[in-house]
Amino acid sequence: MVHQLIEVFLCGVTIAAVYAVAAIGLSLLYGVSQIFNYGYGSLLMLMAYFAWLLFAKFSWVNYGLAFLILIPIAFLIGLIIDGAIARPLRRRENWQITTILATLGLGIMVDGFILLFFGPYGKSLPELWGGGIDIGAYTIDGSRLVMLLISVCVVIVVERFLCKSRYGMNMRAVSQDMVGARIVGLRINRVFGYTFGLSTALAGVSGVLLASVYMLSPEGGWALFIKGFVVVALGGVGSLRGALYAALILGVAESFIQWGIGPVWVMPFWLMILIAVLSVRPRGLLGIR
Amino acid sequence: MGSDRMKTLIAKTRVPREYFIFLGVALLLPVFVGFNGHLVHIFIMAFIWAIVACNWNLMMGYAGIFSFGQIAFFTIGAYATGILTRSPEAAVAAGASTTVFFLGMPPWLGILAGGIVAAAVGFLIGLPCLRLKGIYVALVTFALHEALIAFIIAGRPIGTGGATNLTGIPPFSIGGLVFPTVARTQWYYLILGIGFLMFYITHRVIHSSIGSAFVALRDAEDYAKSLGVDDYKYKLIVFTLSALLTGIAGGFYAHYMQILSLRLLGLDIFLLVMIMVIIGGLGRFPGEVVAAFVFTYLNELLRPLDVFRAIILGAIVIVTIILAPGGFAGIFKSVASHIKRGFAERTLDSKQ
Amino acid sequence: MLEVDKLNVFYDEIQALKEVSLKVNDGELVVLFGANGHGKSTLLKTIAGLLIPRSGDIKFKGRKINGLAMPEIVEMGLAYIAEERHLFPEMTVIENLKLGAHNSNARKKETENLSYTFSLFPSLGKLENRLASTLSGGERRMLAIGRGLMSSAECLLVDEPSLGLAPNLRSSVFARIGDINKSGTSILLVEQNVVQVSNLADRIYLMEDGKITLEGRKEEIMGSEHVKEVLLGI
Repeated sequence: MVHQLIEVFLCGVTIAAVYAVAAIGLSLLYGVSQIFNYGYGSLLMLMAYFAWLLFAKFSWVNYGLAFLILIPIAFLIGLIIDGAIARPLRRRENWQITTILATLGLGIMVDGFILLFFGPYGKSLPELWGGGIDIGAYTIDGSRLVMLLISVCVVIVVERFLCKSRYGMNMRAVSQDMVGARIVGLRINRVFGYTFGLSTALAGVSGVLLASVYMLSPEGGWALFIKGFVVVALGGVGSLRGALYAALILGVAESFIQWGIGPVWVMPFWLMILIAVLSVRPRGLLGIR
Repeated sequence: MGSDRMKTLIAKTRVPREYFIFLGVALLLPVFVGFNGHLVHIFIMAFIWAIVACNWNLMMGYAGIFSFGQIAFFTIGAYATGILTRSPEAAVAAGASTTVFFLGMPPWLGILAGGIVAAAVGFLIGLPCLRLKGIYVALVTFALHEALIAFIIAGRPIGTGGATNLTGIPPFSIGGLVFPTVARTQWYYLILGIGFLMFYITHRVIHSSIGSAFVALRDAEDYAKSLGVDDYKYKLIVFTLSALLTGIAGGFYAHYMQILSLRLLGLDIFLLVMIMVIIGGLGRFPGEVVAAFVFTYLNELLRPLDVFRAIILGAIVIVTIILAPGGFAGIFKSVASHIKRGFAERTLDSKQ
Repeated sequence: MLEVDKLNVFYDEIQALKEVSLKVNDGELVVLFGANGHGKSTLLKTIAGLLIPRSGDIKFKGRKINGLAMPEIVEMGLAYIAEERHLFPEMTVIENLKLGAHNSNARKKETENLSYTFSLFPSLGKLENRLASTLSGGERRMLAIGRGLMSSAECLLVDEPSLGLAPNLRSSVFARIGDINKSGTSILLVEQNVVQVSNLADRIYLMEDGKITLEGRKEEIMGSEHVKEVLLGI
């Protein structure tokens, strides 16, 4: 029994890592540009499908190459979306709401695109890592372990980027005080642009990672979108660390609920957490806003 | 003399003259398009969606509540009556393990009950949403939408039909008059009546003190609140009322189609109705009613295109939002004012 | 250096600035004073590029800047130090300062500017790694000015730097501003405490109700009866 519990726990931890990556993508975008990208889940799925395409068409592709190819593509897509959709809307009134509606439309377009090109059936990606690792009496599936490691690396890289690099600092500045950012002469639109790019790239990474372990489906992105936002809400917008803790808590909780009560109760669980967090402590655990 | 009485009657309802013209056109429609034609079916669906769009517009456009839960309320109303109106014998066929909810209610009661259940959910979800900023309300209600899918799948034991369809819903009947799905003409007039009743209610709400309170809250929230306008109370009223009416519409849908599936919660339908509200022009009733008809028809036209539909609809949303924030209602208003001006000029001339 | 010509600025339908004209010559320290709410901050914000005038011209170094985007204005060498400061709360003092040197001219001179700033405000130097949100009011004020200095600006727009500061801090801040001016930077200073800064000022403007009502050298202004009334009223 304890054995099982620990396995469920570990499973939760590995998926929590990926949730964290997805959540950070959302958190950055919302923190810097105040945009809720309702197309995030669909874009996440799209990148996963692109990965499938790469693996299907080119036998010499491995995960490393796949990431190398797909991350810049995702970044570019994000840049384009910001320039073509978010930017014109920013100049108008109610831009927060119109951007939500427009990205929702975009998300559904992407869903349709996926259905069109890839068909409605689920797909799967090759294993990240064959075999597993034994720690005492417990086995961690190799793929999940690698998924965990890659996610952790990504989070660390993003954190370094935000703290040390100039672009990261610019992003933080815009998210903390937009007027201040303008005062020092930052080009806000440019910052919004590469933030969207980075956000989409993170979506891509988490999408490919999740797809390596679970199956892909055209509508799967929406659940991830909601989960990502619940993690951001719990962790607090603008806090990377908060997103990590929240992802851990929620990922593990989800794992237990799935095992104990049934997978069908997973979404209602996330919904209730969302309501609870927003009602009781809207700032989240470590949020600054 | 007779026309004077008509004029006073019309004036008493405090509804603009134009609406009666539409009512007249709508009443005569089947005469022109064939009483049982496919077009009538489209119009029936259009009326149903128009009711949903109408209430969604009340929430978003007037009360300024950015809710994504409208279709969820619709579905709740539909499924509720779908279960409640079936008899216990249908339980086994439905794969249910308990007949608790198979009450075999008469459809009109089922629809009402469905509406009330939807209203209850609306109230419960509305409570935490009161204090949230618009975008978070959207998130919570969207999560509700997604969670509802899970609830329905999980609800197989109580008769929701799980991931498969909910079949065997009895046709609508009232006072001995039965409305099977094929009786399109009857359904058309029934829904027309219900629809116009709903529109009338919406119109009255908008032009009542509640409506003015909403406009005040929407345009100048702090000032309105300082004057004592209780936004929590009004928002909760809107949440509940909107959910009630939408749930009732869902109930009618259930008894019209006599079959329900999770496709109702699919995002393509979500987007379709959302388009009606946005393009119809947020906060400019009855733009969304017009849009409902246009888009239901468009949706049918595009049906053979299948997957492309989603792509086209998504593209329409994006393009419309970026290029024309006023939507249909903007166009509607300018056309209407052109017509009005034309009439006024004519009368002036004739008087001279 | 800086020329404002018949500027009209509206907030929706309310006119905040009425035909305002003003000049700051090379190396001058010009003081703009007047009661609260009469448009002084609005003027600075408009010059800085945060607000767009309905009519009128603003010229900096001979070039028209009204309508330019803020990044360009900062590139040209005009920096704004806001009354509300707009610091980056979750960033350290040094990060805030480094961001102040964002524009291309300043970036090359970042180290230079840093040492210059720290020499003017030694206490900031001791607070290098503190988060801006943990600083006291006076320290924040200094940081805001320091951040403005980091931009290698030729002209600074300073809005009420002494607001909320204790008297001894106030004179210290003014002294520093005087030093900055002496090292060649032109300054347009908005300040209610005109008496304290009158020694530093080359010229003084009085703004009432969105209009410039008095202009002149400090002797003329400080001696005027009208000014005394205004000061008593402030």
